[in-house]
Amino acid sequence: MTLNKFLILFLLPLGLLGQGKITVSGYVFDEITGEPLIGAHVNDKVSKLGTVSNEAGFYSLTIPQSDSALIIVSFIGYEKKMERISKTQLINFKLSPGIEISEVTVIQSAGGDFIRKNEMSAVKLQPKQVNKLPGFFGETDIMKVLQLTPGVQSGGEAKSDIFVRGGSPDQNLILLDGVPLYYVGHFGGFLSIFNTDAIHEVNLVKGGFPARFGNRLSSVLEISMKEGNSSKLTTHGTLGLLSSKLLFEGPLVRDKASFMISARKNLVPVFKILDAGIDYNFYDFNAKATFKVSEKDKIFLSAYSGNDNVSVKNSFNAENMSQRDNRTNSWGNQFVALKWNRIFSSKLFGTNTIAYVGYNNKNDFDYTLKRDTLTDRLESQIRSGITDILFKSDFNWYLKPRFNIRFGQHLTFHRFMPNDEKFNADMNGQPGVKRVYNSQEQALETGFYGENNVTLKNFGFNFGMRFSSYHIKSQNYFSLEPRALLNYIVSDNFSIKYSWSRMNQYIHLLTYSGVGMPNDYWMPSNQTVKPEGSIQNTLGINSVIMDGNLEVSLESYYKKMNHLITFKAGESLIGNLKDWTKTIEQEGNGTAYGLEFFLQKPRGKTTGWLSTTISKSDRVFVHLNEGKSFPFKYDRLIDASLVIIEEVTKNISLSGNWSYGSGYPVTLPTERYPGELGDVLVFEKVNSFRMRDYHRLDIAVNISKETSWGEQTWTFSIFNVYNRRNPYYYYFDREHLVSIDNSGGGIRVTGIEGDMRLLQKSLFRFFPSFAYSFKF
Amino acid sequence: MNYINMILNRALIFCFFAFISWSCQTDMELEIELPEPKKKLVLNSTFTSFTPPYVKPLQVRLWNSWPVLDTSQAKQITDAKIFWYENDQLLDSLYFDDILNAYTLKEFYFPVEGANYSIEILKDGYKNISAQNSIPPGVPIQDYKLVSFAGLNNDNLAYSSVSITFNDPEHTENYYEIIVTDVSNEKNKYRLWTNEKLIAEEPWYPSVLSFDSKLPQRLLFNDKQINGTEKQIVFYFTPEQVIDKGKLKIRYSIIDIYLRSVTAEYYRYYTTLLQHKYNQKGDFFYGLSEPLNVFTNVENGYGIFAGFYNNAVTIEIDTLTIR
Repeated sequence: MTLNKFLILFLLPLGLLGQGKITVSGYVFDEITGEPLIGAHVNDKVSKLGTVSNEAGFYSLTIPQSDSALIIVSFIGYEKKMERISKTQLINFKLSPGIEISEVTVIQSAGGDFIRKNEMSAVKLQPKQVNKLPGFFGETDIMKVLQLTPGVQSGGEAKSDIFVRGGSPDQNLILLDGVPLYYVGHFGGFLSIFNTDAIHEVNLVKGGFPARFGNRLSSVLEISMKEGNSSKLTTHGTLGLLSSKLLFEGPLVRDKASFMISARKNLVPVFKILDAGIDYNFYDFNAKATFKVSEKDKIFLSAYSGNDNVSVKNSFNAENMSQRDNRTNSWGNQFVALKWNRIFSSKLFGTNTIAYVGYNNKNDFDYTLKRDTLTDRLESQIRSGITDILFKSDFNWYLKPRFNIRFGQHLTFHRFMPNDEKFNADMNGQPGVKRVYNSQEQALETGFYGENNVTLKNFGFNFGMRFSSYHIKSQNYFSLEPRALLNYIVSDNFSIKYSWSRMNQYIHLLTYSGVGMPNDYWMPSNQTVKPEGSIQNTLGINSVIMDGNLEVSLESYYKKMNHLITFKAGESLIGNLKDWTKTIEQEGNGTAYGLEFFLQKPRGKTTGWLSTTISKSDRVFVHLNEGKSFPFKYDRLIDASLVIIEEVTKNISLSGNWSYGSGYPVTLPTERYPGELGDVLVFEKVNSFRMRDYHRLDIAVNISKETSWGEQTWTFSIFNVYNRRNPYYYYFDREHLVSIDNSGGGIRVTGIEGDMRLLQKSLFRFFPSFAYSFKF
Repeated sequence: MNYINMILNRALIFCFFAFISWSCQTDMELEIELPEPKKKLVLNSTFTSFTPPYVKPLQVRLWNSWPVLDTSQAKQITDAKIFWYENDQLLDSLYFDDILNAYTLKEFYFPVEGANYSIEILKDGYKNISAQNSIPPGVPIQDYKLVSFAGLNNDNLAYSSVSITFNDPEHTENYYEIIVTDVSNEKNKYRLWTNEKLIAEEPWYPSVLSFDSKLPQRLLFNDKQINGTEKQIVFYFTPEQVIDKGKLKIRYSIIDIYLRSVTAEYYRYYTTLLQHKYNQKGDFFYGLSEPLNVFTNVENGYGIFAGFYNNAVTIEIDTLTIR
């Protein structure tokens, strides 16, 4: 799209501005908790014009001046509020929870929004309902629920990553209160770092990206933390098998300032109990303080800190000798962010954020051997991480009810530490080997965007442009990313949507294809490694049927990616102190396409959804697989989920989910031959085999009881009800037999190598668990 | 209170039955049908010129590949037809020598530097295989030094250090291999290690964290970092030693230290072979390594056919009492 055409499309609607208008603006809140309500409808009954509140709960509606204008504010599960207005003014609405909140966990969009909103490939979660679904170890998890939606894959058992439309985990921009996070799993992905008690809303966008989103190719996951109950001090807690959590929220100054603090930690040493020889600990901590400085200004201070630590320790003592070795792997995220929301005018709302973000991954190995007076010591440290300091501004300009403009900028200073390594060997008390490798690099990334959003009677569109730049040492990269989304509203119950997005990504994730602890290396684009890019086309139809009780969508997508990187065959950064760019294959290309079907029942006593995805995703690198295309590691032909939540009574709910996925690809050897060092395996084409299909049923029951002091809830759940041995990974093993021959006057024991077998490792079978929660 | 007791009782009963029925993770053997690829011939032949006293006669060994789940013992193929070419001219066919346990040429014969050699092998039931290579020019050892006792290792055994100095030729890509053997017995190679970055940073060299893996018997490297300059390399090995009446003693021995000039194919084969073997030791903490196929320059088959030039020195290690 040329710049001239873009400007015409972007600014044309400005000509439609007229006279005799009034504007009502302000926030929509939950009356009890004080949390902003995102997506609340604000309509004028007289002119029939309306708008919805934004991510901060802010709305702005311009209507013809009239003495009889009646503003109605509504949100699912809340009582409507009405207000007569006759002049431009700032009004905040507080809605009370009214009818039973029976909206389903996932809201693709409620009724009219689903059809009319210029948005596609988007999924919203309500965390309070996530808690009703079955969870592993009794832990419900936002990422695990997202994996049950179309186009989002889990990557296998016990993973918190999301693989969206054939993309890898680094291609998801995960924002917590607008701040990007880099690794979001505890213990290799058993659960995510997101404490659902501290989360207010979750929104995943997989396509049709508006221009305000950038820096990643495949998805944007926006998670907003609660602001804290501004009127009452409340406490929530959960005791579970894997972790326990506590949350405090309440006013600092009633209706003016509030806080929310939550913490989660594993208390039960599960892996010690299972005698797995592993010591594992994790924690995460969320905090947020909100200050309403004036009617127009709000300041937020958010913080997150989380860490996982896995260690294996061995020791051996004998006379005059002792040996000890420790292996530790730890990783974690931290961030601190200061955000300022301001209502600049009745039509202009702005958010400015400044933040510090850090991700680090540490691998330590420590070995000591003491014999008599001699001491041998070997020590290895590997550090990988990324820290960002960012500043960003976003503005919403509500020009007219059906037309608004968003624009903004972002500036990020990155400090990369791809693979800092230290190795010391001090043997026999003499100076031994000391090696150090420093890998640090710094880069500056900027971005500017503008987008307009227009909704007419039968047609809507969102056009935008994003410009970004990236500077590292003497290398500069620039990118222009046009975006377009068209919405043809056939009727109140049916719409056809199409989008085209060009995306760019300046940082890459290197990870091993095998299983194990997370060894994520976030690497910068630089003089030799170019930024990744993608172009995605999406076409979909949305429909509401059976009097609005069912929402159906069918979407197809086609995505092309370039400048991808991966490890070279056999390469590793562990213990190899060298330039990481020498370990990678570059200039890879990727293709992903698919069809997603989503049927959901968002309201009523029984709610849930059916999600089915048929898809294909390939990669090609010049020096891998002889330059031929091969399936992406997480290419899955069919992925389906069925989720049902039944509100049996006010205090008892039952839920279940069944998920199915065709087998993930794997590279297996097919031949072997004798070599100087033993048998040599010959690997077939990359990812040319498929593991067994994956399917699993989980169920849960939640029983709540109100007491004099508050409310308590018991949750009983069963993971993998019918005990399916799902594949975690495959490996070869050989039986080792023993032959005992006691003829000839003696006993002769001979080791015999038995048959070679291909074995499957399964992780979890039938697994019941429970959790206890309380609230007061 | 009654309600709470009821819930607690039911929870306890649930937990009891849950843990009774809870199973730990187990492996499951699968009957996976892997395709049975057609067997291929596997050639192993590295050849050198006549460089007394370090003489290695021409030998060619041949096996076949087999499906990965087939656990048959490997047996050499001794009845193939093997043709040896020098500068594209057929020189002779090889015969299988039971004493050498390898194919060789009938007459006293050694390849020479600078010539191109190729081999063609025919065997019923297999596709014909062929390969080509040559012997690179040699790079002499300018200087060397042995320190019999350089320290004690993790197992409280003495280790020795050797430094060798050589001049890398300019304007050519050169590849090298260091091995240490018992005198005139190439089969008995010592295990080596080094802190030399040139070698230790090669992808094949075992990670510093793989201290429980067997050390390599070959140190392979290229000249990208040293092209055209003089280089000294220090490496270590564990000499023969004995504990006699409570004292650790290095025994008298004679060793050959080789600095071989090898071809690119030789280098690629052995480095990928070593990397392939080290990668097969997976570690849950560090992830299983990426699969890697061993390089081959054998058309329609596997293995290696490559030349090298022997430069070596022979050193005596005197008896030495350590402690």
